[in-house]
Amino acid sequence: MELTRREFLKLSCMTAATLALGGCGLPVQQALVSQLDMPEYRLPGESRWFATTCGECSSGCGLSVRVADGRAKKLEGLTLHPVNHGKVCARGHSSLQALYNPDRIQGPMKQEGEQLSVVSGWDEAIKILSGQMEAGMKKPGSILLITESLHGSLGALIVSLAQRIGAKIWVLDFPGTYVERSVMKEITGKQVLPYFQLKDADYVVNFGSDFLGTGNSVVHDNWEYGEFRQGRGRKRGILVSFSPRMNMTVANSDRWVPVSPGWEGLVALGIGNLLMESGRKPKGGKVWPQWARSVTLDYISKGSGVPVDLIKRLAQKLILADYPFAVGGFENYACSNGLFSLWVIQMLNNLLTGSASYYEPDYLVSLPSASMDLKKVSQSIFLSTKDAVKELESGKFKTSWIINANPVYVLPKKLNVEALLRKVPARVVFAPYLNETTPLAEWVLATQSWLEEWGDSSLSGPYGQRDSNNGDIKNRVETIYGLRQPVVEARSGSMSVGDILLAAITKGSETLKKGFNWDSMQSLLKSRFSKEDWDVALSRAGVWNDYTADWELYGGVLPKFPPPTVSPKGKIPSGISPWEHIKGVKLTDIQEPHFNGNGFVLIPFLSHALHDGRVANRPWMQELPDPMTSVSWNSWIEMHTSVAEKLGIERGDVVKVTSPLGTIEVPSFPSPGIHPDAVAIPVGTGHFNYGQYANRGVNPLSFITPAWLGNTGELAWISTRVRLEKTLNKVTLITLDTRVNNLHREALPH
Amino acid sequence: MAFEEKLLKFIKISIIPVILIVAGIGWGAHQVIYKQKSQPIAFSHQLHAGTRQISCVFCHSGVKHGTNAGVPSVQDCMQCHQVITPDTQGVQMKEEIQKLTKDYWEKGRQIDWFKIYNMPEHVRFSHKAHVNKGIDCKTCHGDVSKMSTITQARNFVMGECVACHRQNNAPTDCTTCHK
Repeated sequence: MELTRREFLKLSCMTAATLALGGCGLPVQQALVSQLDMPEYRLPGESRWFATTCGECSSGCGLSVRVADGRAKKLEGLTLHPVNHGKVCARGHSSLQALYNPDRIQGPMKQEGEQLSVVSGWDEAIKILSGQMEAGMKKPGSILLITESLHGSLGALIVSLAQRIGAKIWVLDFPGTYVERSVMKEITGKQVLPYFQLKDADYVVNFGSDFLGTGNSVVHDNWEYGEFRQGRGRKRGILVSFSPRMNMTVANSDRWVPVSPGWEGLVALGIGNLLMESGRKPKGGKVWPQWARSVTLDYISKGSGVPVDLIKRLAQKLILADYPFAVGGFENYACSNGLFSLWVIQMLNNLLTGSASYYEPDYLVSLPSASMDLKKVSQSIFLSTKDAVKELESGKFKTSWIINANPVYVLPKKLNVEALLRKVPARVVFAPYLNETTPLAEWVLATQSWLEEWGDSSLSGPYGQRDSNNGDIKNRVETIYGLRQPVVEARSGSMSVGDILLAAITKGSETLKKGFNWDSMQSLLKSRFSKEDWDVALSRAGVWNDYTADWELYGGVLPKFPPPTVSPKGKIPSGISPWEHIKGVKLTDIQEPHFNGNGFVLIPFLSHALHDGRVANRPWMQELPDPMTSVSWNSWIEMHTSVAEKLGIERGDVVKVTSPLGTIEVPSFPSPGIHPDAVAIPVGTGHFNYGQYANRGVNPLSFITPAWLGNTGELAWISTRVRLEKTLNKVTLITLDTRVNNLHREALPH
Repeated sequence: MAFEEKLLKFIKISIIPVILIVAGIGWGAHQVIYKQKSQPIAFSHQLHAGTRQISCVFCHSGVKHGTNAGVPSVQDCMQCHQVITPDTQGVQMKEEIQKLTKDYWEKGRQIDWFKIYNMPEHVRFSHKAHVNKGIDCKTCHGDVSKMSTITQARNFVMGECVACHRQNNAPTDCTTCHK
């Protein structure tokens, strides 16, 4: 029988149609999830937004968090918040990955043999803590508390508790704010932070700061910078940067002037001298020091590498500017002469504008209890790094609590802090993840992400407000009380630091408990407000004065920090500074920078993405390209292209970097954006016990030589010279740019 | 035998088995997709909505206020089942209550149910809009009080939706359901 073409086609179509039967009409399979617990007000699949205050740093940005089905999905800024004006930084956005990180500790962990194991429930841990508190009261000075920077009600709780149990507090932050506060104490009489009043400036000179990338209040500084460049009602601002390295701020400048590391302050001194010679009288109350006037421009030029001509031209520009302003930063004040440098820069501001703008993000908010007066806390409970190490060496501590700090990672190995801490008999670490410090702990208490906890912050500064009617920005000192609320149910097994401490206090004797009248942070915060005020404060993430407040800025002198006042929507709790123990700086002569070792000055710079390393376990931050090199997921060492050429080094070649204290190997990134006398490695990489995403790269802080900054007792982080040696190894750095070297102009194929 | 003859003979022999196999696959897929084959807990609507006469809205509380009906949280289930336990006299489905308590509530786990009613992604359906117009749950979901395992009661093709909208003077504009 013959199979005709028609029959073949019929049979084929029937077969095809049959096969197609099974595939029609199947919809996409979706999930249907019963949450463990869902409050009545939550609708399935629909979003709710919660106002809260970011807890990533002490800037205190106001945020709105979208939550759907009990999951936090996205953070955005609160538009009218005076700090961030609706913006959020990358670190803020990445806090979702801190909340949902698979490496989070599942519950309190107890050391059993060599291992840390999760225990069921918190009772045992709380009882141990309570016992340690009682023991501390019997023997004052036997407890060491190592913590990140203190602020808000939690800071007040920790300080008050430390006072009660005779503990010492070591605030450990990289790079820390001691230098700035010490200088501002001398200039203004208060241990505050300099405020970069960029929005009013028309000519800004930046000495080593990266305020756009890694400053103290990055989002707000970026907003100020935007206003500065837009120049509403005046000319567009000009920015000139003096720095040994091109960071993001320097890259946004109109001109970068490479300076030898540590010589920025001396350049500022030269400019100040020129202004004095021009007949300028200081607008502020400080007198330009006589001992500074003998320093010649030739000497400064020789040391800094900045031509005399350029210094003179810049001074002239500053004389002609309407509102010139000088800014100092990490790459300037982290050198051994950092106090001197930053002091000169603030004195320059005194000369230029007459005022030293300042702000304070770290107020401790007074506890709402008559018997807890923070003003009575002895400032001697605070230890500098130098004093803390010395007291650890003396063996006086019987207990150490490490709260959201990682001393083993962030401190130079030379200080031997890990071994010193191991000698303390009782060791408790409060952390949400295992890190380099947790192996030495007897107890690791699983803490929470700020998205799950109650908290607050208190800031004060000339944040300014935009008038919604006419768009003008009015300078006004704002006192901002930021409230933080949990936006999701806390992960089971975790507790907030405040709740842990309050639970332990509640278990203690009457002497311990006296004045601590709350069983949770929520009840502590709520006790400050009436019910109506509480609801309003929650809905706007805190309390600050509305635009219609009747304060004014008097001439060039800022008013005193305002006393607690009643805003239209509730009372702003009062605060005190935890920094009053910081002494001012006294200078009688110029100071050149000093570095230990031979070779190139090592600049361990704050990574734009990873900061001091605490966010290195977030993939979003690991993949965030560095703004200058676009490298992600790795460490690198920047060196000048001429240095690389001389040593025969190309991008990706692994280089052995040797300091007086050790050696590391790291891939190289030759760049024209760094002084030939310097090399730079980002901080934040080089973890070895921080989860599945962070254990990569090298940690430059581990092998720097410890040097102390004047009488602050704090470390000068840029204090080491290193030698470079090319190895035979090479890695491919993950970057966003092409593999083409644009300097040789081979960009386009023919 | 010529090649064409062999081919034709092969096709004639195999066409019926092929049709049966394909139909079987289709039926199997239909069973998997549309029937409650592997729910983590064998929850019975017949027992809860039928025998116990628990209102639909008691568990699916989202229907009047939101787009999705939702399913109750584990804690909602435990409101009853911390009292109605496997040890309660006369209780049915002890193993399933045991699963709820031991495997989910005590371990702090959510329950990932197999979703029976799946709307394609290009369709926006709001329960609130329908329920608040007086449309009874049974209209679309059938009488679940008679179902020990949930099956899809209607074939939700567009014509069905449009016909009902026309009958009830509801909008039939495309953008009503396709955003």
